Amino acid sequence: MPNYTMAEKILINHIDAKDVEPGEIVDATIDIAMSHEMMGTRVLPHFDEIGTSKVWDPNRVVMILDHWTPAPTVEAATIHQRVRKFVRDHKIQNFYDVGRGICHQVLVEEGHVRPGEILVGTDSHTTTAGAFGTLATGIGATDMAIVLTTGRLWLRVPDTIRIEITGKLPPKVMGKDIILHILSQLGVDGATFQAIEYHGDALTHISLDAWMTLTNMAVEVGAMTALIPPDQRVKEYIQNRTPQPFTPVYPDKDARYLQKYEFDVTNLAPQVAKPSLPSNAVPVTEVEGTPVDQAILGSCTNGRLEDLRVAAHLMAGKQVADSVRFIVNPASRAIYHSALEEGIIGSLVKAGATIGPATCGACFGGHCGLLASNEVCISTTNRNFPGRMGSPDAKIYLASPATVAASALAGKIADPRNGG
Amino acid sequence: MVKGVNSVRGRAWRFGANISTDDIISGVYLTELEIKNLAPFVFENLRPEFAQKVQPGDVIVAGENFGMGSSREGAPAILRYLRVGAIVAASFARIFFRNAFNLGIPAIEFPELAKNPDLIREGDVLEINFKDGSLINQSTEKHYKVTKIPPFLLEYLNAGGAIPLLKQKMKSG
Ligand code: SF4
Repeated sequence: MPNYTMAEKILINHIDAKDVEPGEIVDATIDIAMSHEMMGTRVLPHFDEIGTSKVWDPNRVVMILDHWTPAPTVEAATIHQRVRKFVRDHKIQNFYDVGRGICHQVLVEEGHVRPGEILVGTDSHTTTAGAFGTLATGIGATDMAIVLTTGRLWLRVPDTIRIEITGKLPPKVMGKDIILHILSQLGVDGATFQAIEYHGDALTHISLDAWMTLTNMAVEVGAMTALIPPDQRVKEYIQNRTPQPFTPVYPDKDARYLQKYEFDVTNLAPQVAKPSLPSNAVPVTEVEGTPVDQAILGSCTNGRLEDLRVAAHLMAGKQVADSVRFIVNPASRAIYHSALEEGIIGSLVKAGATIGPATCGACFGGHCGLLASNEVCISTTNRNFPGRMGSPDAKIYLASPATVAASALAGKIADPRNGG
Repeated sequence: MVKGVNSVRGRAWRFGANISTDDIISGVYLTELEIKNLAPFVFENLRPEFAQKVQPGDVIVAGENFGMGSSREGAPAILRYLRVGAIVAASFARIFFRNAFNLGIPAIEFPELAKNPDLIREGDVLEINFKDGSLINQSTEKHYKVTKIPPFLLEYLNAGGAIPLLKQKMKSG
């Protein structure tokens, strides 16, 4: 009887062998390769150095400008210009220019993410696509230059950690709280080089938006990739976005897992990760009352429609505290549009939010709301390392959209379960 | 104090655990295209003197999960530009590990450092042989075993990185 995990099965389908062992190095064919501004800065010089100057398959390459968008500096504009030239010269079929949204979101919305495939991207949060049963992993610039040339990449067959999430989340507690709690238990290197497989009945009660938050932050646990077995919702979502056929992959019944964890979320409290590690999560009650200067709602972790909706709902008829800058970046233009139509953007603006473009923005210290020395920010993003959002002396707390919205209203870290 | 391709000798620069790529080079600078212009900002907040004082062959020594976070290759590219001889850590984050070998920098796992960080102190002179997985701390005269580099990654080091290796292979058909 075969006894493979999802990651092992997907890898077997992409190599010239019928069997794999964790730890083994395999040479895998790549289905989709995604890059963003890194193409214009670090990948192109490597690609030019290789010198074949031919992309292996322009249909399988996706280019998305999302980090410095719209360009805040001449340097950024020049990088964008180089990427556009590359797209023209190599007839790259899938190009999404400034304003379309954050790469991990756009990939999914545009049907480039399909169950059972291998997707690599020059961005560590490429793991997000695993919510759709795709083996998706982040790579560096040299790796990408090699993939663009050969369509192949060496990968180490990961061990798989199985995480069972059970129970039903209490009101105002979100997917972000689950992953922050998992991180606090496993640590920032709890799954280094490994694959995570999420299972459990709690998954059926939460949205695909929340699934993407779980796979997105798997890289904060160090994982190579994180996978969720596709359900009917996933299949329908993908079918509505691409005519391309796909074959979902599921783990064997007796799949071998390196480790198994179980988290019952029935009584989970909203979590807040204190500076300066995403694994520093504690129940919100432990940090309640900490004054904040800025609150950010957005990013590939939590800039989706459900996230904006939850925040708008909590803020309806209320006002952001005078001492707080509340900045919202929808994860994509499509989300922005839906949020407009639903009245979400209106509610947020009325409450005092500054709505920014669909960009990464301040998440990585790029632009659109950096922090000064000693300022405190509560954010729905995924990393709170020193200097991540501007000054190295600023303090970043990570939390769910509900907790960030409640804190923006209160002017200090607040429990979304009270009021709202 | 650089030696051959299979070994290195240099002074240790001591770092702690969970050094992120943001610590190595902040995202603020990443629109800069030239690595030489990024190099002065390496470890800006942890060791601002690093870029000035590092010597060819020096070894970065750290705890667990070195290079966590962003996939930015600028981080190891700066270390290569500054001719860092090797990085020794209790463990590495996955993307950083790939990026380092891709650029021809040996990333050596020394799991014991997690429990006993004092085995290597700031400024100790180290000699590391990548092939047989040995590390000699010449300052304390102690010998250690480190994780051996798998043969296919040794090829990367010998070729000077993944791209020179790919070019060699493409040439030879
Ligand atoms: S939103 Fe933040 S974490 Fe996500 S891709 Fe952009 S910079 Fe990276």
